[in-house]
Amino acid sequence: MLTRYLPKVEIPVPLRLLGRFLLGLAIGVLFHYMLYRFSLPVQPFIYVAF
Amino acid sequence: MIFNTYWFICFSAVFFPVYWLLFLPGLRRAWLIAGCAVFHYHFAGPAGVIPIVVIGLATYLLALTRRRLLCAVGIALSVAALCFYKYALFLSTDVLGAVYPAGAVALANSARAALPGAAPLAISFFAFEFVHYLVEVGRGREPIRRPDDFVLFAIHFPSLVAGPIKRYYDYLPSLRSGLARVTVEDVAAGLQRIALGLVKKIILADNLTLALNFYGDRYDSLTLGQAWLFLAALSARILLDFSGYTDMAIGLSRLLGVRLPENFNYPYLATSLQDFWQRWHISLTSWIRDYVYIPLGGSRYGLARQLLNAMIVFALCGLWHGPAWHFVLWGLWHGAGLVVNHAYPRMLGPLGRSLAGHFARQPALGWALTLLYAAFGWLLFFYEPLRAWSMAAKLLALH
Amino acid sequence: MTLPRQSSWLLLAGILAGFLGASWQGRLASGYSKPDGFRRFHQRISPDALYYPPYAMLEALALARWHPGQTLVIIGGNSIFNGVGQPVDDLWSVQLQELLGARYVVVNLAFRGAYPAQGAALVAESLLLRGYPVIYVANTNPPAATGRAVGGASGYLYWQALYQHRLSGYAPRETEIRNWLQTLPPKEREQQAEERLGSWLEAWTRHQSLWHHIGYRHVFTVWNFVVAQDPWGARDHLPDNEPQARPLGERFKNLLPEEMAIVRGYSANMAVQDAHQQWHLEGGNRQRLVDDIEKTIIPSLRPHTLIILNKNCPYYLNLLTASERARDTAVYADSAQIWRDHGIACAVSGEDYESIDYIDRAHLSSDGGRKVARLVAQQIRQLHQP
Repeated sequence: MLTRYLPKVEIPVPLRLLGRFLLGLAIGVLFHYMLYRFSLPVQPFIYVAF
Repeated sequence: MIFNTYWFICFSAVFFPVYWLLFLPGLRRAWLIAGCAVFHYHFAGPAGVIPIVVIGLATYLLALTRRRLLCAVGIALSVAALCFYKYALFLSTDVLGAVYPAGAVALANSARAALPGAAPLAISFFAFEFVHYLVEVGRGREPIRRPDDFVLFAIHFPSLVAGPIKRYYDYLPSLRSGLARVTVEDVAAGLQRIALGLVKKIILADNLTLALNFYGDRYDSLTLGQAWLFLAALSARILLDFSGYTDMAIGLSRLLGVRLPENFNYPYLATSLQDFWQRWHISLTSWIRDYVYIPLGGSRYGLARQLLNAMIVFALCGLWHGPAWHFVLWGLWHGAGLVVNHAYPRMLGPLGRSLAGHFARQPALGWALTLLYAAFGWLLFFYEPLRAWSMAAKLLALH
Repeated sequence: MTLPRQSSWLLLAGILAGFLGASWQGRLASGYSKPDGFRRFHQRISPDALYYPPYAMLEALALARWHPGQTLVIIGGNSIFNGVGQPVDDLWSVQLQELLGARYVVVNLAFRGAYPAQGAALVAESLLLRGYPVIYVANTNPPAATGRAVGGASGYLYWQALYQHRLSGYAPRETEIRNWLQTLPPKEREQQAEERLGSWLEAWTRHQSLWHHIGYRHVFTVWNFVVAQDPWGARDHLPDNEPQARPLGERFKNLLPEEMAIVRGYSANMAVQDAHQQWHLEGGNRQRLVDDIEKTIIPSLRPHTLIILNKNCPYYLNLLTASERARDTAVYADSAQIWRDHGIACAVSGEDYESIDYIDRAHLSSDGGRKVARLVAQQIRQLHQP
């Protein structure tokens, strides 16, 4: 797994923080996109039926 | 529905900020109970809430006595409720109907008259959590004293609808920690996990579902390659759908500072069926192991009994997913796979041991076989047995 | 502050910035986003293909070609006025534009399955409120009447327009919608509540505007069988592909009994005979249409509205008995009169049409489109003499 090797790679702290901010940006845009997707005919969760 | 609704977005936009701003644990607890109750009532309606309140109240009171017999009564009540709401029609028409058709019709008619339009929301999950609680108390664990603790255990909204199935002795300490303090790390991790769940469910699984519905109707006209692609999409879709749901449940709970158990651990990387079931729907598998398989005798009474137990357990596991034969067959498919997986090194003598050694040296082979076996199983999970057989035959070029 | 804490705060700041940034982009998109060279909402940019044009897009489309001094002709109604059956180059509303000339701007906002009270009517109402010279033209038939602003595939437009403050607060309409919501079964009521909440959020976050813009211009992110050959392609790559009508000999063959039942249903339960064996619109149905008009079409829009009642194809009408045909004619005539009694221009189309003017029971071919364009142009000139 890739995650096994990640801790071995030394990423400078400012870069790591920038990465977190960018990840946050992406998640924020994703949440906005979800508002759009929720308006479309929704597929129920399979396991909710159980 | 449920998490992917505008109602839930608006609910969350009000509920979570207030929860974070209420620093006093008592107030937070009251707010959380109110939120859980509103959530449950909104999605289940009165017809879904009342049976759970009744069974929950009985479970709480019976457990307080700490008497094994009364705990057993509580267990019977939960199981009876599950059988009644979920399986009454199936048992009367499909099971009794096979041996005593006249009686089956009468019973089915009575069941139809007595049953509500739909089973109470998440009755299977409620029943399993209540049974777990009563069994543990019956075995001597301390019951939950505070009624509000029990209410939260029962209707903790992130996991209310489809799990993960909680263990009360893990949940309560985590709940207390969340009520005392939610850190910014919790909130960030929770939102990240929710985002992951949304990607899996909404972007990947839902698109796959739309395509699968379309190509499922045209399956017979697909080429062999397309049929295999269909099977891959079917397998990916259920993992993404359910693990996406679980990610959202775990993430939402983390926003409350409460940790829920994991349900998936890369199941399609499993190198054997036994490994698969330790990675797939972990909270259900471990529940079945602890409360059905081990009480049945587990592996304590020899190989034959162990294999029989495995078959029983997996048939029940299949039936838990829904009142239909194809779910039972899906469970038996996995049960049979596990039996073979477990028995062949001993049953086949030197050849078996050699095969087992080969699989141990070549994990990729075990992985491929396990993946294929699980994938063919999904045909039984989603389709009626004859249809599943015909689809599998096409995949194996048996047509 | 510890590194994990700093990193968590930055993630949260990023989430907030990302969400607000997307909302801001959505707000911008709601001002400019619209299909290129728009003629109509063809199948690939319609709810059939999971493309639900946001309300703001409809207004943007209506005003895209408008200049001061021109009159906007907003076309609403269902698939017949959408032009199903007419390839885009033969589209009736394009011919209407040619017939009316440059003093008018014709914008076809009809949707498949929509009613006169939906979508385009709200755009006409909103623009009229803002002082634009507007004529609203929609089609319907006697049993369908005005329909309701909400419900169906394009009912979401009402909630969006409402929460974007584009509509007049017309109390009878609001009361009627409230009462209707109460009558729905729980599942449908929940669905309407979701549609409403989503539209309320849209007014703030403009998620529909942004992601429909991206879906049209860049990549479509939802799989759909209508575009199964290219599900992820930007919808601007997918042209209006409405086919030519089949040869006349191949039309009208399918489902004849079912279609005849529908044709009879247009008047069967709507009319009664008087003592002279003359057919008239039955009292209850008359009152229903009156109520529909009064509750759904705001009074200020009525003088600017033209309703066309489409008749079914003569291939089917000719299979009716003489009495059934007389009943059909009476229902159309009486319905048209009720519309007119409310100050709304109304004409019946199809009375002199032939089978070749239709591709099926209801939809017009290119030939039929030309005829209806002439009728509408003539009616508009009578209604509006600038």
